Amino acid sequence: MNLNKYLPLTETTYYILLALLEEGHGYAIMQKVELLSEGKVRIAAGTMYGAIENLLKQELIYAIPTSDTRRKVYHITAEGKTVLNLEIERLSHLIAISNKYKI
Amino acid sequence: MVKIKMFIDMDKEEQYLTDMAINGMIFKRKIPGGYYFEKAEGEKLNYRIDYRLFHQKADFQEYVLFLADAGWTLVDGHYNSGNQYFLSKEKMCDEKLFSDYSSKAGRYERYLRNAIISIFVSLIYIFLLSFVAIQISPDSKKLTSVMSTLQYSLLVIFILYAFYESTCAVIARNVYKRTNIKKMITR
Repeated sequence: MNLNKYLPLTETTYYILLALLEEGHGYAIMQKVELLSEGKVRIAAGTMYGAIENLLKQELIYAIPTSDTRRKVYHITAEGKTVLNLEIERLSHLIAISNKYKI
Repeated sequence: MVKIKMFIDMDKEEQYLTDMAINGMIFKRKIPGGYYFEKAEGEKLNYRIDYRLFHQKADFQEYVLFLADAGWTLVDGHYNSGNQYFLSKEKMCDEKLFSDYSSKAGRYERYLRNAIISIFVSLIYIFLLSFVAIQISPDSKKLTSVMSTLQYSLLVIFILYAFYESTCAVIARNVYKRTNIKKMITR
């Protein structure tokens, strides 16, 4: 499967995948993203819901079966980790190039 | 109190409900072609609208619970209502339901998809009703209509409905294009 088709990731998707390296439910992801981004990125609830739905469809994350059926808990898949690493490589490359110009 | 009004643009609809609340008309329920309000002291309430259909009630309940965790109360909506009306728990704030343009526009994408299905289904009904009328005609040389009044009324209703849904779809498509201009995070 060509995972490059998912690149570049949106800021929302990038942070969600990063947050889901540890499992968590919907609202926990929202809080974690705010924490990870040092308060710079706040994903609104409706946007978060749609993003989780898309990531599930793309199988970059999966829902862990739990005893609490009311709140689903999510975790990144192997494909999700690969996509995240590809994106990190892409971003690092961009930054390395930019640094040469000392903007 | 009932007000007759229709919106396709959900931003304008949110603004309308907020303005009504300031004037002491608190939104309680969506009714076909309008809104039901209750009189109260005017206050600034932050209404936000999402558009979603759910196949399963459990998925809808999970959705509502997730939004409740994030500080949103469902005012009106059920699993197949499409429009979901939320009220921010913190009053006087300007909290948004969507933080990027593409997810904001996604509401109209889903609305449009649903409208197209409705148009398609009503076209099938229109076709079937016309087809049945011709098939049971006793003299095939003369295509005299053997439709009953009921069939006629149904045909008219479906044609009007298809026309109405098409109009809504065209408007929704325009709003979608306008909303989805920028694909960047708003802060």
